[in-house]
Amino acid sequence: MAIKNKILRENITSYIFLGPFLIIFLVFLAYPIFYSLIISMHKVSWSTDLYKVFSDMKFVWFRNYVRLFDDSRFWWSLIVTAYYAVLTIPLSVFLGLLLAILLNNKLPGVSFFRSAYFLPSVLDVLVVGIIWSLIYSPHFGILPKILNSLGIKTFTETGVLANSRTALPGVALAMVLRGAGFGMILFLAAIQNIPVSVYEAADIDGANPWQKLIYITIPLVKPIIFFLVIMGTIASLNAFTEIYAMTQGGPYVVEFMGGIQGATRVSGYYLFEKWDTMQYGYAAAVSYVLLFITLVISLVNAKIMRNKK
Amino acid sequence: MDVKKARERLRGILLITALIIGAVIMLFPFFWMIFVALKEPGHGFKLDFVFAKPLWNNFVAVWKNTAFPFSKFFRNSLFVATSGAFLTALFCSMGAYVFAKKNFVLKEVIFWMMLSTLMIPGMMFMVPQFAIVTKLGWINTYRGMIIPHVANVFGLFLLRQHMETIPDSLLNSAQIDGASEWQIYKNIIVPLSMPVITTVFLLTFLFQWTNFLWQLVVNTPDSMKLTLPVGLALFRGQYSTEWTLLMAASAFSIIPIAVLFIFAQRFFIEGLTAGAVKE
Amino acid sequence: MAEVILNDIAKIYDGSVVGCKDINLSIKDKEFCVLVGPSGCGKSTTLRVIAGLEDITSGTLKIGDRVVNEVASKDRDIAMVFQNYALYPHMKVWDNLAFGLKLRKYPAEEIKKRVTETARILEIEHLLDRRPKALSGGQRQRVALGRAIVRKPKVFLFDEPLSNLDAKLRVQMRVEIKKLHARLQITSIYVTHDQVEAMTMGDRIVVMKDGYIQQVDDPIKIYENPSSKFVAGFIGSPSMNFINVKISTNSSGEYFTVSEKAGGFKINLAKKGFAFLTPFNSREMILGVRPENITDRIYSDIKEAENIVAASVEAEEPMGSENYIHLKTQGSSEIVMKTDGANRVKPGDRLELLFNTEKIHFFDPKTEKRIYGD
Repeated sequence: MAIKNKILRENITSYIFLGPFLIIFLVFLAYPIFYSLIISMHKVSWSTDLYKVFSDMKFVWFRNYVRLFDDSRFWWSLIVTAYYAVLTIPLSVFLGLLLAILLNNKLPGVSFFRSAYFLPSVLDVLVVGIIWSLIYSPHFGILPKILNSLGIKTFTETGVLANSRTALPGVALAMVLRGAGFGMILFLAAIQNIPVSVYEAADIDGANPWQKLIYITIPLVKPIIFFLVIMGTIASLNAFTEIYAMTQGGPYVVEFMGGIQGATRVSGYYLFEKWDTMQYGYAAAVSYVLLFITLVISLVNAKIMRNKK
Repeated sequence: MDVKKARERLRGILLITALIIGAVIMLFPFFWMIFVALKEPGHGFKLDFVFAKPLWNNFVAVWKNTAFPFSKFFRNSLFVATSGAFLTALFCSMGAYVFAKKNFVLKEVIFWMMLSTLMIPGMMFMVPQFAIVTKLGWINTYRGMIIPHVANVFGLFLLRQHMETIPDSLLNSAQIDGASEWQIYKNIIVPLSMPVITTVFLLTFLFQWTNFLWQLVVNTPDSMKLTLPVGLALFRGQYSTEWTLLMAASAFSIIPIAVLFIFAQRFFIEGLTAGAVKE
Repeated sequence: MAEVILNDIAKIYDGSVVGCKDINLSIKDKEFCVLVGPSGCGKSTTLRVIAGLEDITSGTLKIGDRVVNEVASKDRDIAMVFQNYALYPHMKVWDNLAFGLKLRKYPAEEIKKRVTETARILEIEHLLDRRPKALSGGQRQRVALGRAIVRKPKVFLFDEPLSNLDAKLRVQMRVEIKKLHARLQITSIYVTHDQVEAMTMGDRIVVMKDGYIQQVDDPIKIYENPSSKFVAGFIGSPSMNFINVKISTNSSGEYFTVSEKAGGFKINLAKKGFAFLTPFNSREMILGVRPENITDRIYSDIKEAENIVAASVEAEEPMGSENYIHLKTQGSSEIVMKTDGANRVKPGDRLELLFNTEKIHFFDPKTEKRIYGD
């Protein structure tokens, strides 16, 4: 009798403590995943009172998904997102590793540099984006000015972000320079976990610094590399603020699948645009398809990790 | 002997030079921001050294701006970030406590549910969360801005991981002494978890302060409760070419976080590495 | 020929911190030489200097016939076994063994041959596919040994390889390493802080303290003829007893009287056998006597009442075959006596002890050096 009471009490206590968190979690994290599916099967009707709009939506089955299939802009946004991922992930992993190797020295002031490199990664993406817009801007931005004096005049007229070829790389560069510090901290922790004697054994076995890097350091930081790749993939799918700040999806000059596309219109931004134009049903459908894609990627990642063992 | 020493010194000098160049490149945007923010309006583009008179003029103008009152934005951001961080730290630590130290029905199920939401990019939640918030009538309210993100699964896991290391014997002896659950939580669990709770607080503060998308979504442009990033975005819509003012406005968002970081960086670094290493 | 010759080797850190100094050592080809001493005595520093992991501040180092001061570790034809094994954690055992050979671009056939042969010698063939995580301490140790053997170097260096193993395994591995040495006949330099290891394994041992060599000799010779109080106390367990005494001449002038301070025992030694004490007449000295060279008068044949050391029992440590008895003399010196396990005592018992005067040592209290005869 006492034990049954005890178990009951423990359950009650647990749920009381967990309650606030659980309620918010269920309402705002768990439920939305299903609710999103429901919304995606509706369409916004024209009676648009902001506060009533969701109750007034019309049920349209899978029409939104059908529309999605034909939407060249959606498919294009996937391509841009993939391109963005390819631009940002290898570069930030490489930069993070490079900085960690440089900082793994007992020089004085190393911790100052470590803070300096890590600082940008905690700062506002929006602000970073706006500052880089200034740096990249035509005629007056500092970067075109520097390139100009080096003889590269392509950017003086248009700036970096209005040039369809360099717009996305420009955004990517700004974000990589901002975020490399995060990877650096992780790599640094991992490298400092490797015992010095392993490197000494390699010295005696005959390895030169380059071989030590390839055969010892890199294999031992593989888990971090994996983690950063996954983080980077999610970040690319989430990319919005930087686009909003720097290019607003443009420049709109690329031709694809019969439509004019934005050179930096990543899926996250495309999703936002649909929301911004109150196409909530369609936006929900887009986010559901993106969710599906994310799951597939995560599963593939998990498979790869399990195989490499 | 000297050759080796000399080579080492050279290597050291090259290394420091590389590091300095790296730091300059990475921190350049922020110096540029401050540089432009200090200049006379209209000279934002020019590479001259014509500064505003008085030097802080742009900052004052932005702060007192009637259409885009950054003083208000700042206060809003502060309120949202602080209360969000506080609520998150509180609820996450309460939840972490039961996951670490108690057993209850559906524990595994709930745990698995929370774990799976970690893999989902935030963007996916935008539409449904917006729908829910609209239905609740929370648009343009502090409730709508703060509460949806209080259930931070990462924070809960971080705290749980730490709390598991608190010896059960401490809790048992408190029970024998007659302490209630809440007293155990308040007097033992919380003090012993302070470093991690602080980390969660700071990380949430940082997240709420820099959160742009959600604050943009949940507020209408005429809202009285705009936070700094949103205010800045709207400000840019209006003053798009006044770079000096724009940079001054940006600084309001950046500088507090930079200061916070410099004083509390240990927590940021430990928090983020702990989370990643666990993966 | 794989001799290792250290000539006036010194390693000084930051201009003043002595890692090791005045190291003069000629290690013969195929010799198993042990560097032993307490932490901080410079033994690991010396080993690392030989390995090339530390730069030489001054002096010359020769391996074989080559001066190798400026030669990189990998070109010195040496192999090293580390205290924490230093296995490559992400590589399988096979790859750990093969790594050094692969770097030197040995042909695949040769690598396979050497790795399998080494694995066979060390009985780790069944572990070749595993990663270090999945191995026990002893198994990792063997892999570390294997990595060194597979290279067939001129010199083996061991840096306290058994310190991380439990006691039983340590004893077992000691024997294995000695057997390996006998089989492979490669010059070996072994560092340890455990004097038992040093005594049982070394052809010669080098006792070090504070960066300097104290004594180099065959283990038994060092045991019987330590050159300083430090060496005498470090080698041998339980360690040698040290008692503060004063030397005087007796009335007849035929004997030296060794008296314990504060009114303790008095021992007379014939001047003939102890002529070297002459310069130390009327001086204070340190008397050293090993526990096994102290006997209870009851068990001896000597019936005289001469040279008796009176002491009372404080505690005993019965070990089974032996009993270590802790006593306090009348002059309040604390000593340990080693006797047969069957001889049991109780605290408070009064015993009359005899020191074996042929096996006592004297040390200068200021220099702590041993005072010898010829």
